[in-house]
Amino acid sequence: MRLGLLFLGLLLLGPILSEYGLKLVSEALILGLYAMAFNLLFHQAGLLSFGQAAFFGVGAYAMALLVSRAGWPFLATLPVAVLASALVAFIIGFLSIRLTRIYFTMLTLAFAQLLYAVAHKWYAFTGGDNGITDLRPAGILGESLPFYYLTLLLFALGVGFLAALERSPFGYALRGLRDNRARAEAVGVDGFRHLLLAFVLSGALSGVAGFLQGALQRSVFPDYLFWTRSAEAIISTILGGSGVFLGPAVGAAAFLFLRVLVQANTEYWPFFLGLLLLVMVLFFPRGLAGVWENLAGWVARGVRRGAAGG
Amino acid sequence: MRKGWIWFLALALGLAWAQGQQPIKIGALFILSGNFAGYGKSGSQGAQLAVEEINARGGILGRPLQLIVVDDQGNPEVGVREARRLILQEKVNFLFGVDSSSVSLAVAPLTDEYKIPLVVTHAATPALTEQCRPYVFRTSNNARMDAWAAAALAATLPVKRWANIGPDYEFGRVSWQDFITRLKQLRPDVEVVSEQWPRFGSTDYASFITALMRARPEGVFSTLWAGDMVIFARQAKAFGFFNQVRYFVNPVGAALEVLAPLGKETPEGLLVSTRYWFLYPNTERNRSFVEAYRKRYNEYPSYNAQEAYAGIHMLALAIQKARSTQAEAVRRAFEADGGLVYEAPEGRKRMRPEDHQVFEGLVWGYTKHSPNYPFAILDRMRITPATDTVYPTQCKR
Repeated sequence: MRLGLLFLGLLLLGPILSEYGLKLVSEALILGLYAMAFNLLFHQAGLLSFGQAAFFGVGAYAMALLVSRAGWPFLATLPVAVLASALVAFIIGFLSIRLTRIYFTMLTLAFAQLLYAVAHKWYAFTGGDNGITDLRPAGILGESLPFYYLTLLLFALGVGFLAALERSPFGYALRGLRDNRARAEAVGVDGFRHLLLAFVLSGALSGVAGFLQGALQRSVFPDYLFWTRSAEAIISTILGGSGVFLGPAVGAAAFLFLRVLVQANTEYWPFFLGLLLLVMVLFFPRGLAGVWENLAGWVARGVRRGAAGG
Repeated sequence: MRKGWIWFLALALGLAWAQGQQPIKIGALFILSGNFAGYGKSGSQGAQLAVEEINARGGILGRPLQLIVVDDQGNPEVGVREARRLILQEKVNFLFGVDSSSVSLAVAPLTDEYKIPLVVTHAATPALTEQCRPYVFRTSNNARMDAWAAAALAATLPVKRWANIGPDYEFGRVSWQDFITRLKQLRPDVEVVSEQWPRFGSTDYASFITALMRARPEGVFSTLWAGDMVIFARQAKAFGFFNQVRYFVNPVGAALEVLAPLGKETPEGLLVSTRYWFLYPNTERNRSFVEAYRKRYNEYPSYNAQEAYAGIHMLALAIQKARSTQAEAVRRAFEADGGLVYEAPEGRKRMRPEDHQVFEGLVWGYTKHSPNYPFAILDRMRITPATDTVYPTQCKR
């Protein structure tokens, strides 16, 4: 219900926004979807994937290669982008999920960096560090408002799907595995299969985000596969709070807007980012969403105390 | 003093009132943070100096120039985001600068989309101008011109056995390919004995240096630049590399961003070039530029400073000629009469109308220490005329 209101609000926001505002909010939605996909693994399944960039990048490159090399229309590449990133997630997940904790994290990082190296070096196919440019979608989707609505539609579908998934038996099983894997498996949950499926779904949604981001930026570069891209999902999630369903999306929007704001006025963005993370981790470990809940709690308590005093 | 200010203000206000004109806005993208911040800093300083000069003369078309410099971090995604902000929010008329090749390639499609011309003053990938975009111009020389000039020089050296050490990305790879292909056209008898590709940003070159020395080349071509060249030179010197290799040829090795940090450690006798060397040419034009730059910033102008300075002046010339800031008119002004010509501090720059690439003479020399400067300077200078760097283009106008 609350999700529906949010989507409706974003829908109505479209025509009010300036051209630049549309680009920014579109990018925030894309980053939000990507962070939400990461949080499916992080919060629901308890897996810290440091290779999320691999799926984001594969989605973007699938779109870019088909559009620029094979002349496909932009939208027609969506299913391929989703399938390609899901397939890559299946392979990486199949090999990584056998490991746990730091070993799992490092292996996902290694696979993502491997794909980065391929994109970076294979000039004939990916264009290397020259990237693939001129990816403005032909026709109406090359305009800001229609593209914003496409982004919103895919964001809403993705987030709606994740919300349904969280409440489904599959979501319960994932949380069970996260909290106590031995016990969950003892009652008959197949840990490997559940986690692998979660990994593939998360990869596919990240691929959708990459698909959109490449078109929004009009170009795709190996940076899309670099580990800093994986870190963006993690930072957004820390910023927004992983424990609240929409936390990562809120964190992604805050991260992006803050970055643009700081960037426009100083060249010290990395410094601000470090400071921000320090403050968030030390004082607000539950993220912006946690701050919001605390505030709400204080207000409620204040009202009660006020009532008692009167 | 105080009165002077008031007069100045009154004059400025009067001018603004008389003209009733908006400034011409130029949005510059440079790297202002991280390892390459030095390049972006000097670039933006050069551009700023040119803007101040032009405004002191009353601006262009009666309108002052306004420079807005932003940090693109050398990251194509940040570059596109910032370029969009400049175009859509700051309403700039032109985009300018750009250090990183990948940022320049990422931003280039926006020039078609928003009809905002981009003047590139540093990014050197030949691919940028080979895309033949109508509103992309490069007023600095590119990596292919450097490689061709290096080949023209190398062909005159008594060297048959060549090797390469370059950063392992597009710039290093393409430069070496261009250099050796061109050299083999000029001197079919040369041979390649070794190719080394350290990662861009490496800090340990020991294995590459020993591999090169084992191959016993007589000449080594290198496009290591910025901090990479500084670290490599220090380590190679410790190995006695420069005693064994007779000719070390680096088309980007004479950048002040390399020579200044190396200081007196720079080995002598390296055959290096840069897009602009502040002691050449010994003309009134160049001396007054160097003096003005030193007075303003208390340092010598590096190549990036001079290229950005010249880029702003070329753009201003084109706007003047077009009598408009409109993209199509400015394009025609750049292309007209066989291409726009500008007498820069470093000499004549002429834009090729077909691909919007500027061609110019290049200066080479052997490093040598002098008591007058805290870093090595160029000795026995050799000038490659612009005609030796003109490669064919596929663009048509």
